Amino acid sequence: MSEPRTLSTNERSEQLSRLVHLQAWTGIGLGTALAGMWLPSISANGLYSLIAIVLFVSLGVAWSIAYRSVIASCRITAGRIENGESNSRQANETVACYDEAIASLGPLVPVWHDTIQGGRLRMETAVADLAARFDSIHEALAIALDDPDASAVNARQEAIHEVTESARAAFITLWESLDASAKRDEEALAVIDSLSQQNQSLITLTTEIRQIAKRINLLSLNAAIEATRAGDAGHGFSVVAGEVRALAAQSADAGDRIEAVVAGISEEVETVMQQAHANFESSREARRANRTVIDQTIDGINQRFDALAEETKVLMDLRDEMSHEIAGVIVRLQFQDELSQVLTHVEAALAEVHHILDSADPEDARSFAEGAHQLLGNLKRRASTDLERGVIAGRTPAQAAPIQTDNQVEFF
Amino acid sequence: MSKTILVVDDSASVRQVVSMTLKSAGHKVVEAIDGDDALAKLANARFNLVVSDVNMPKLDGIRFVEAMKQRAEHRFTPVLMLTTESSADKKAEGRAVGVKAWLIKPFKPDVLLSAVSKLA
Repeated sequence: MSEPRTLSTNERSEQLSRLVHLQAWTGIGLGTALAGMWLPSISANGLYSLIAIVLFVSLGVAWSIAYRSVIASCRITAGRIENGESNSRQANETVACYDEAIASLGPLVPVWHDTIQGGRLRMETAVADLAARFDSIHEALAIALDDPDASAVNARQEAIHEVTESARAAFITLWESLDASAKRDEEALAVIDSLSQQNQSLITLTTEIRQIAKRINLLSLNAAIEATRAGDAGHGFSVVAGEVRALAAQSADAGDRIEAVVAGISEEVETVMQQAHANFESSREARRANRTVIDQTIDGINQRFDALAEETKVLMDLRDEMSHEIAGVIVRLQFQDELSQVLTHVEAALAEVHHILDSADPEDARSFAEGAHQLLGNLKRRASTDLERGVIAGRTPAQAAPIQTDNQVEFF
Repeated sequence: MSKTILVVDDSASVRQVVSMTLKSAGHKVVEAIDGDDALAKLANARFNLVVSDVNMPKLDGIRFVEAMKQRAEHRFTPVLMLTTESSADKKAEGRAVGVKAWLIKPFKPDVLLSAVSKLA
């Protein structure tokens, strides 16, 4: 046989409430019935009876109302008692849970601490190495591109142009002197040519002389014949004719010798003329070719130096762009320092949490609370960045420390 | 004109970027890892300027400057604080011990170089 179930406080109060309601409505019903019976015969005594009935009914109603409020209070009290019992059970369960949580968290905190510390140290090492590599790149660029600015490059380019134009002028001067020399050669050729023509005139003259000598010889022969015909009277004339014939023969011989010499001179002059003409033409062609080569060479040198200057300017533009990028890298690398500080403070806070959990007395909740309060105070004291101070004050990271890269110097 | 500058910071990467910036402008740089190391370096050399962090182990930047200024040969050596600290209280501490300028990280190279040219 099952044991009778024990009623809860609420159930008891409900039963009592129903009983009170029954009592109240019974009183009201009885009073109303009595009133119905007595009303038709109301007299003075009946009036008093009616008053009594009304009083009885009112008393019933008032009693009902009063009891209802008492029952309500009882219900509230019953509820509080039940809640209190529930809270007590919950409190016990909570304490047990906290003990369990502390026991579980205790070993975790050092793990978090060591993990964060290890990560921070790796990050610091990697960023330091990165910064060193950028330093090397920056130094190499500075060595490779030694020109301080574009004006120095332009000055050097102008100096190079001056040198090449000076070389061009020197070559032109040389060419002009060669040209002047060629003109003198031409004049000499003209003189030689004139000599050659005079030589021809000499040849013509010697021919005439020989012809004259031949005719004189004929005349002398005729004179000798006539002298012989004249007999003794022509003896003197015959001697003269003989002398004239001798002179004519000498003249003819001299003319032959002169002709031979002139012919020899003429041949040599002709040879010289031909060689001189050949050399002159060759020299003129060479000078023309040299002038072209000089101009092409100087122009080629200038073009190469101009191309080199353009390449240098491109490299300088690249250097300036790289310097700008490196400046940006320098700014970004510094954020690692802020992060390292924040992580170092988190490590210190975790060490404190571990100490609190390790030394917390489950029976002494106040010491635990004091430790937690001190933890917050230490966080505030250690904070060295706007990020930490802002977050501790309840702001979001973006609100606490917006990223700024254009900080200026404050002079005191 | 080239200056000799002492850079004090416990962060190797910060010392690297500060040195790179100063050397690119032709300055000579000596590095120290904290306040104690910096005081040791100051004992052996003269400097035109000191650039120091605030939050460092062993001896922080404020205490380092205070100790440095007590040495006659460095009493007038200018100090630029390069730090993440932006609070007015910390700046007042710095000014009280003789700091001449305050620059919050991260810095731009041209800003640092301009400050160096004015202080050194």
